[in-house]
Amino acid sequence: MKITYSTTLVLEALARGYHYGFDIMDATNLPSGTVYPILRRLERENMVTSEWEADGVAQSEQRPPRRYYALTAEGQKVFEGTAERYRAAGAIAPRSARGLRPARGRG
Amino acid sequence: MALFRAIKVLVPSAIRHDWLREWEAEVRHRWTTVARGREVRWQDQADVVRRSTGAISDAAWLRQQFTADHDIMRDVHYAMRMLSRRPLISTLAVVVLAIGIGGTVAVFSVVDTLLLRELPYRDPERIVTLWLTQRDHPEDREGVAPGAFLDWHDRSKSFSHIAAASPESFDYFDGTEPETVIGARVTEGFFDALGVQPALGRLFVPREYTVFPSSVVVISHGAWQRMFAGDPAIVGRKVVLEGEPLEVVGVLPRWFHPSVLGRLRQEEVWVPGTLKNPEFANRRTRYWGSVARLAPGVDIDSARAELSIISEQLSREYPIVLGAMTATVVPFRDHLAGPIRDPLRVLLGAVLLVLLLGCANVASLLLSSAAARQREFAVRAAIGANRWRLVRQTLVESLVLSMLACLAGLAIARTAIDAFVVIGSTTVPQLSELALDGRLVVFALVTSALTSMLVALWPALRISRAALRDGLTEGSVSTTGSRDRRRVASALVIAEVALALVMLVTAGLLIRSFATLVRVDPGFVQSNVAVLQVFAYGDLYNTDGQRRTFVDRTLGQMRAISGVDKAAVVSAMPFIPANINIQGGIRIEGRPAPPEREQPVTSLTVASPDYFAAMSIPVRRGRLFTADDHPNAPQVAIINDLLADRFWPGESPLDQRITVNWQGRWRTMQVVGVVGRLRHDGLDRDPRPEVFIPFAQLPYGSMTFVVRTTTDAALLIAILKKQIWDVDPNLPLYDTSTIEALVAQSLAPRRFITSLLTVLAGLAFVLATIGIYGIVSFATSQRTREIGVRVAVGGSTRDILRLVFTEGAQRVAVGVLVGLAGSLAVTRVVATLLYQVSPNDPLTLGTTTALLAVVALLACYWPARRATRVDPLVALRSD
Repeated sequence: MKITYSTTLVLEALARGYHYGFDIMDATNLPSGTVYPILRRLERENMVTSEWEADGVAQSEQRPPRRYYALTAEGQKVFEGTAERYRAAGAIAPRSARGLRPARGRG
Repeated sequence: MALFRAIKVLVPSAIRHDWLREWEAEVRHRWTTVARGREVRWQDQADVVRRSTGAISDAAWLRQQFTADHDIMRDVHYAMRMLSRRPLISTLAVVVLAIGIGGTVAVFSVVDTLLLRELPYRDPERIVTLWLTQRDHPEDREGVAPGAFLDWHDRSKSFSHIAAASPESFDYFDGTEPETVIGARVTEGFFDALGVQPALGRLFVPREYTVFPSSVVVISHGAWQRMFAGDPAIVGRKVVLEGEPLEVVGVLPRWFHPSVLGRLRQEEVWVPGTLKNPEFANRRTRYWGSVARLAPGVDIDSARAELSIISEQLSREYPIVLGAMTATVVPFRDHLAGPIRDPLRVLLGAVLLVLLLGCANVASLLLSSAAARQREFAVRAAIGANRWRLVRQTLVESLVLSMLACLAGLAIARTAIDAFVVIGSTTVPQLSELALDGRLVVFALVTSALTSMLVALWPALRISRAALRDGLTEGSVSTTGSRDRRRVASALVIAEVALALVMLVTAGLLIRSFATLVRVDPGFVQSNVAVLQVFAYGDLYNTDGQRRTFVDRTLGQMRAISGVDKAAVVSAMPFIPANINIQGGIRIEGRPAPPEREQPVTSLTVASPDYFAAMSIPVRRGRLFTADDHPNAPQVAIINDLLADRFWPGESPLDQRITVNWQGRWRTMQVVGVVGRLRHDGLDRDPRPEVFIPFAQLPYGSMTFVVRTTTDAALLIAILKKQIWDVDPNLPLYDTSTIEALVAQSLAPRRFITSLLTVLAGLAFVLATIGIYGIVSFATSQRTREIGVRVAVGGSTRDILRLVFTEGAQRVAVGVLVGLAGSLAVTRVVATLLYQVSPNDPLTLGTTTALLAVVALLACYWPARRATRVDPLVALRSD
């Protein structure tokens, strides 16, 4: 799979602890129409796994459970490889989340 | 949320539910977060909406991925991989199906062109051709006598147009070699009956049908191209035919070759003919063609009924010439399809049988290879593939197979169609239009698709059911084999044997029939005879003396050529397409003349002395003609033994005096010899009674030079032509050939169908043998464990052999019975193609059945034999 710049940003967001689709959008500043296909592709290539959030939180918020994405070991490795390159090129700089706290653990 | 529900249909159904849940969860979560404890800002609302639109591209992406990954393409990809992993089986399957599909397409192209495709004529189903036939032999269509046509024309009410065409040939000289242009003189209504409009110019106007001789001509597209190089200013140009300048008034469309006269005549020019022609008094000589268009509201049956009433009237009015005759109405399409109509149906049936056999074989191949893949299917079922998924996989595999076969089949069809054009268009001119067009490609694709369904559905359903039922149970494959599978195997063996037997019997009958036919003695020796037909009429040939001089000089020149053994002329040349059959009444002196309606009729032939030697016709009694039978000598005749047996059974006709009616004049002659009988119209036609008159005493103009050579006759034709042109440089040669070629040509349609069916039957035989062998081997291999057990508990080799072989043999026996029953039904259809062989010919049935049974039993025996060598230890350990 070709690792594009956008893909690297998504990997980076995951590595930094953003695990839900909308949160990753916030962290990467990419539109949702880009983030989701990237997630799906990463998942297909076994760089990302996904699980459903535990029911308790969802029930308390009266909504369906969210989908929790996490890097696999493979994904971590790929991220480290490509992040190295992009960082060397100055393409990615540490980026702060804009006012949203990263989700921790599994809901 | 409504947005998600609207676009979720894009998402593949398997993950649709999860997808919807995920998006709803994200949006609701975001909503709760931003709304927490404060008023929702419009920017936040807009942000949520903007993000939600991403669901559209997400859904679209998923759909695209699914289509690429999971759907048919993936199946196809997988199928290709599976097929290339088993190259032998796959290639075999493709070849088998390709032959079946290619053959079907090729034969269908002929069926399509001749029987199905709309004819280019206007309302073609309303066009009929009319023929005189003997009441007892309505299938033997003869031409129409001009007088009979006039009577139909005047008395019938069923037709809006009824017209006749009389065969004409025109001398034409373009400056190189004199040639004969074939054409027809047609009466008013001819082009209306056919419903044709000219491509250029006009057709004849009513006034032109009343003028004789005519000064106008309509030409075919071919003649326009050939004689005038497609000159666009052709209309109004003059063409000199028979020395007369005729104005070309119109050119007919390219497709126009109606062949109402004879199927082999390639007519190029048409001139108008008047209904006041003196020939209309002639009700005897049947050489015209007639075509008519049914009047509005009249169907073919009422037209038939009307003509049959008119025929009965005519029989009463002209008992001598029309007493035994009736009118036969033949739809135009049937006329065009001509002699290959019936063979075509047989052929189509045969290729479909081969295709079915091919399907049976490929089905059994897939079945056995699928059984080997049972584990694979079971695994896939276990990890969640549903039944449809497995069935689809098998279907796609067979679809890929059959599409490959379709490609190869189209190549085969193309070759076959080219061959049909070359071989067939001499028999049926329409076949020259055959081409592999879009219609046929679509037909091939549909055939292939149906084939793949037929081939795969059974194995697919069986396998998937087994996979789901048996799961991964070890050894489930190799126990005794389910009853189900054995039923399939039985059915396949029976079908293969039965289909192959039907094909073999049909081909066997045709081969026997053909062999019988070529052994028929035509009454002459075929090898090394060249024939050149001329029509010596016109200013140079007005008198008997002129015609005699021409023939004598030409024969003299021909005899001087080395390699020429005998040279002669004859009016009625056997097997030549334009066979001149002059018939006339015959009386025997000293016998009471029979009543007029029982007046016997004979064929009358003019021949020069060497004719009998040139043709090697045997002399039975008396002598042949000599130079002494000159014009002033006593009038003599030779008769053939058929006539002799009829009038002088057991006596000698020599020195008897006979009187014959030669074109209206009675001539009395003394019989001086008896010769063998000749077949004129085909080896399958009866010889005709014939009276020969010496050319010297009756110098006739329509003659054929017959030359026996000591070398290959075909090589001498060019030199012989030159001898004729040395004497008359302007005389066209109507037809030149060798008698071998003429006889071969008369056999061509039969040879064509027989050889094709033989090839197909051979194919069917091989396919069936391979198929039976394959099925029995497979079935046996499925029972390895059972056999192993039997051997282990003391079963002898004989027992095992009997066990496996008996089962196969029983199936073969049933197949033979089914096949015999099928053959008896099918051969009725081919009965019309047979010559002196019964459709139930016991010899053919017996031989083919025996052949097939022996080979089929061998195909069962071999696997059985192998089964006896099963090592019980190996068999039982294998699981």
